[in-house]
Amino acid sequence: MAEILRTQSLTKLFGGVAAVLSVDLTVNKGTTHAVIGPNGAGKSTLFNLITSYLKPTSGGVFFKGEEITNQPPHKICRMGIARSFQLTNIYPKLTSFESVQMSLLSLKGLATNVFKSSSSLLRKETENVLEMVGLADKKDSLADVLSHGDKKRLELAITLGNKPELLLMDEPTAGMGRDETWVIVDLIQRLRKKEGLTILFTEHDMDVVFEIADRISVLHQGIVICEGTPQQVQQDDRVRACYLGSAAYSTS
Amino acid sequence: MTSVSAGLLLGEFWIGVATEALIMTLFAMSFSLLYGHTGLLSFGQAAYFGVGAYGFAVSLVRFELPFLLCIVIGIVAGTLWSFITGYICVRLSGIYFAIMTVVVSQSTFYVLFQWYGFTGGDDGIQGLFPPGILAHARVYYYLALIVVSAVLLGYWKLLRSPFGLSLRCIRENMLRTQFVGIDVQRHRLKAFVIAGFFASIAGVFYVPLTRTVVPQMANWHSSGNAVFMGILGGPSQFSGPLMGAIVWVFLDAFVTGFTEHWPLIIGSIIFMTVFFMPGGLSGLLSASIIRVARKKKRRDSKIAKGKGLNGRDIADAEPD
Repeated sequence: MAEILRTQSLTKLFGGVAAVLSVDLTVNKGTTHAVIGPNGAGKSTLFNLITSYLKPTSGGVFFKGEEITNQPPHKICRMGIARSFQLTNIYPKLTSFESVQMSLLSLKGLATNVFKSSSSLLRKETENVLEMVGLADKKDSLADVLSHGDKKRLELAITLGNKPELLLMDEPTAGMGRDETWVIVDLIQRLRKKEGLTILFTEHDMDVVFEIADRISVLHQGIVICEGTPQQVQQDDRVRACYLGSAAYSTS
Repeated sequence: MTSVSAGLLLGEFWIGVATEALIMTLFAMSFSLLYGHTGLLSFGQAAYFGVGAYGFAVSLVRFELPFLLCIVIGIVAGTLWSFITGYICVRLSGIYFAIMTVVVSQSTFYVLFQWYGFTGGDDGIQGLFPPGILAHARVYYYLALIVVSAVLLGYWKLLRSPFGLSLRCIRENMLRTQFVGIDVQRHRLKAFVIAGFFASIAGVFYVPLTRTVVPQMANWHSSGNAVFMGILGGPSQFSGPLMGAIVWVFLDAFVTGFTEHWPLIIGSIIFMTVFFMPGGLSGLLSASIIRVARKKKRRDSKIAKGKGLNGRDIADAEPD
């Protein structure tokens, strides 16, 4: 399978602490790739490095073979990488419709246009994206009055509006109830089947991870300690050690 | 319609006040575009108001250029200054941006204040009469009306355009906007320059009205006027700057007629605005329009349900 994203000895030091240390990660086209690890393992930092929210101390990021290290975030987005955040990032005082429309306008290169009236532009496309995530009936609601689950879905819609080739999701189901979580899981499943989207995501909920991931990288203290299929990872001793503690491992 | 007939009915003094209100609308717009739509709190819009005014005045008096050309030079000078200073300002965010705009405005003020040979220093420049029939207050009023209407139309188009939406996205969440592929820095700079353009037009057209320029036009007290008018009218609404400027300028003219404690009164008004109507006058207006529409809708649905229009039912249906 063709590689879509690769990091090469990617390292980020915060003072003396290595949040991400020499990570070589390869994501193949069409896969759903999970990055898991305990709190503070460096998952979010890794995402922030890939999308250029943070600058790496050393190492590089390659998207479809092209180096994107240190490119500004908006350029990386335009190349086809969209992301959602661990803490939901939406536009509180805009409607769901406008929020998603902005991404589409940006994608079509219309964001700097001052002559057209935005309300009539890309209506159908925007509604399609809202439909996809199940927010069609809330298109005129202000984003900040939506429920937590709907806000997460709206942020997903905002990222999908960019029609990315690679979608990065930082804990897509964080803070959600059981039912809402499975709605999101369903949605992700449908997206990867229908749109052929490549997804890189982090998640604490292992049920979710094993349900949707076809490849998993385990991060521990900034280092990838294991990578493979869900089965391989499940059986890996080092992974058990880092999740359960080495004492639990040695007695088992 | 109202504004056209106002031009015919008002006396000489009030015609001048009405003209000032129109011109100040552009100045308030300058602040509102940045604060209300882009989320950039600028306390320095007077810099461009001042440079616009001086650009016009200096080219008229020192170089004796034709009136129309002076107008163009003033607007270009102010807008250019906003590009140069904005390039630095938009790199900063939050309070640092606000402070930088004050720094720019005060620096501009001191240059105008000290550069005697060119700007006339603290004396300013006097005797800046518009040519021909434009010297008549009524004629000048109509000129201002045409100019301001044209700019308002542009402002209307701008706010409704995709670019306008991108500015509101930046106001709401800069990070998110960046990550949907928008060059936030560049969009903020564009907004800053457009705002500078509005302030420059205001500055240029203000001069033939008062016939003088003084450096105080560029200091932070003058910037404060744009802030107050913007906040009073409601910075996030299209009609905000217009309403804010009209109320502000007329109050000013009216209240200074019988008390010297005008700043106290305006201070109280701003205090009340911030506390009781954070959306400003236009925010209050649009909220009540929505409320009336909602009531009407509710009443219509009641009629549709066959409940009739007896007073009690309607009254019960209006908890707010």
